[in-house]
Amino acid sequence: MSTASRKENWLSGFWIVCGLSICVASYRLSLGSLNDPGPGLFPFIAGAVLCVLSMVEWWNTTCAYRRDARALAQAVDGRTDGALIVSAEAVEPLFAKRLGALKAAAIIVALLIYALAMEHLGFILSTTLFIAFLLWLVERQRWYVIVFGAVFSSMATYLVFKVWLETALPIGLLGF
Amino acid sequence: MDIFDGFSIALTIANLGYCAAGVFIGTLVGVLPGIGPVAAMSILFPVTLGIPPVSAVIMLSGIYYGAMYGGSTTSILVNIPGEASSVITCLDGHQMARKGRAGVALGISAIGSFIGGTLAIIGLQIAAPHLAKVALIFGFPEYFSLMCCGLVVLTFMAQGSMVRALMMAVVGLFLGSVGMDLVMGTPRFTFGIVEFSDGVGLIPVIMGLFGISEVLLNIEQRISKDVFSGKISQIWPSRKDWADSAGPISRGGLIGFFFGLLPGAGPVAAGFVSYSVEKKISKHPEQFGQGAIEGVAGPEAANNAAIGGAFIPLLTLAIPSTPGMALLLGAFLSYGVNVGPLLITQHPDIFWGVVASMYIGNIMLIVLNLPFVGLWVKILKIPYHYLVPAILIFCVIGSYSLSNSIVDVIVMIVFGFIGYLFKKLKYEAAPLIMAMVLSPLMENNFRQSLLLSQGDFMIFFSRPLSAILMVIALLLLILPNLSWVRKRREKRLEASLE
Repeated sequence: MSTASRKENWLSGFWIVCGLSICVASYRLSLGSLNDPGPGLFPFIAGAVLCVLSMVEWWNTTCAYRRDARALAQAVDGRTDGALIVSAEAVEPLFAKRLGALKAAAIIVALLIYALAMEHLGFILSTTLFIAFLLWLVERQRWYVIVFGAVFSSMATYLVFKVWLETALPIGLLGF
Repeated sequence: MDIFDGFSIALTIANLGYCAAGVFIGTLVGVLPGIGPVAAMSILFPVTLGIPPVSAVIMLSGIYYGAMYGGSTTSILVNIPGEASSVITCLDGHQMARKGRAGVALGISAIGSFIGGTLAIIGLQIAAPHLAKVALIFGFPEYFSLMCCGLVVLTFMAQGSMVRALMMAVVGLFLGSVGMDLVMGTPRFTFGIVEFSDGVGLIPVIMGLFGISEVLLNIEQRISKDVFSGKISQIWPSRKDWADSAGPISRGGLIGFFFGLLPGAGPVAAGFVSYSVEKKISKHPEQFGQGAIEGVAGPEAANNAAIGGAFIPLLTLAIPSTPGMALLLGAFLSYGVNVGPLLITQHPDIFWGVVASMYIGNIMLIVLNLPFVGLWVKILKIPYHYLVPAILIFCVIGSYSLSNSIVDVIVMIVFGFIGYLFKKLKYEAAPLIMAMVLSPLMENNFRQSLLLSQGDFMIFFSRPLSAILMVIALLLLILPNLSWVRKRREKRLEASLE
């Protein structure tokens, strides 16, 4: 079985587990009866349908890769056993651009830290630090561009949203 | 109330301002690759909570149809679609620019968009009140069947695997059921988080799936823009250009309008179909892809007309046919306005005000996109890395200000990451959003139908209208799995790719 096929099957397995979990949690909520449906009935049906669709998806990907592999094997050297044939699509990794993927992961982690820190540090300070990190990470700006850009952007955002549009923003321990 | 009363609402200074702000922001996000209209609408949604519903919807709609205009500018000058529906305009629009006809391409694109958009608004104005009257005969089973049918059509029209699209729709139905049960008040899947008792916020989920995920993907793949540097002159098309474009624009307008009505088809499919039709009926199909003006005029008219068409199922049946419309439905519910057959009678100011504002918005857009095209070219040259902090900060502020809660921000970030993975794994987010917004309505209609029939599922097949909708849904589920249909579909797909 090719790498991509295995990846797809793991994914189908993940969805089956999700569907089963939804079914169990919905059952615990009470399904009621068809005459008088309970709060769990609708999500239970959704979970069951997800399980069925995940199995169909698993079957589809398995069949498709077997078919592709057989066709490829026949085209290459007449073999019919396609188990060891790895197609071009199969060898393409999910995160082909590793540096870019790492940057994307760093942004997600930074966003989470920013969100959690915002209520403690306040909007201005946390936003300044977050923008500084982004300017450093995304395009490696010079230090004075980072400092000026981060301070200016966070102050400008604060003025527009908090002062002008009167949007609620976290205040934090320092009072701003 | 009629369209003239609508104009008296839309022409107030405040509403003109909201309309202008909407179409300006729409064009801006359309021009800038990396942020689409749905993300922009969700970011600005919290700002609209303090203004009257009619003004809020005027502004949010303006963003949506404004982006259709802006997206073509980027397609023509950079060969990158500013937003998804302008993909097809890259083919001939950019070729026209390379042959020194950038001005004409931009001109005919704006004019085609204007005509297509206006035709669709006329269609909306005429068809919506009649459809709303028909929809009044819908009972609980008919509504449930209609929503089932809508979701199946949406997944049938999905660009990738239909099974995956259905899976996404089912996940959306589950997400929509999180929160307090409407009948018994039982908390469902809240994990003890107080903020989830009203359900998982639709806006943070949309911001994550369409805003944050797009930023992450662009960071990973690094957008490189090679902006057209030649002089843009002669924006107004010549007599021959007009003659070549008149047919494609009118056909594109019609195609777009009908595709707008279908769940999931939307502006992207409308543009592709219009392009295929023009290529097929053209006397010189070999010129398509080499800078044929018909390849710009038709799809641009179609994608704008699709937005007008998409308003009909939303405003009369509460069925959103695109993610943008799903967001608008969520917005209507937040403003306390029930969309559906009674909207036109209960809130005529909103219906006619919004329709009238769309005429005005289209005129504003043609002014913004023809004389001010130079401004958008300058904006296009802003490097993407300067936009990243702005988009992310706006998303965080937008989600936080919904209920002054950090939980919404976390939800947005989590769905941003999930959306990024979905894009990598080729799962479409649109069915999830539409199912999520329809889930409470579907569940309510489903439970009421079962109560009505004392637990008999056949109620969905024993009432004629409901039965027709259910049969359509079942046929659409079965058809793609029949081998001869699948082969025909694959063949057609290959032909369109060629």
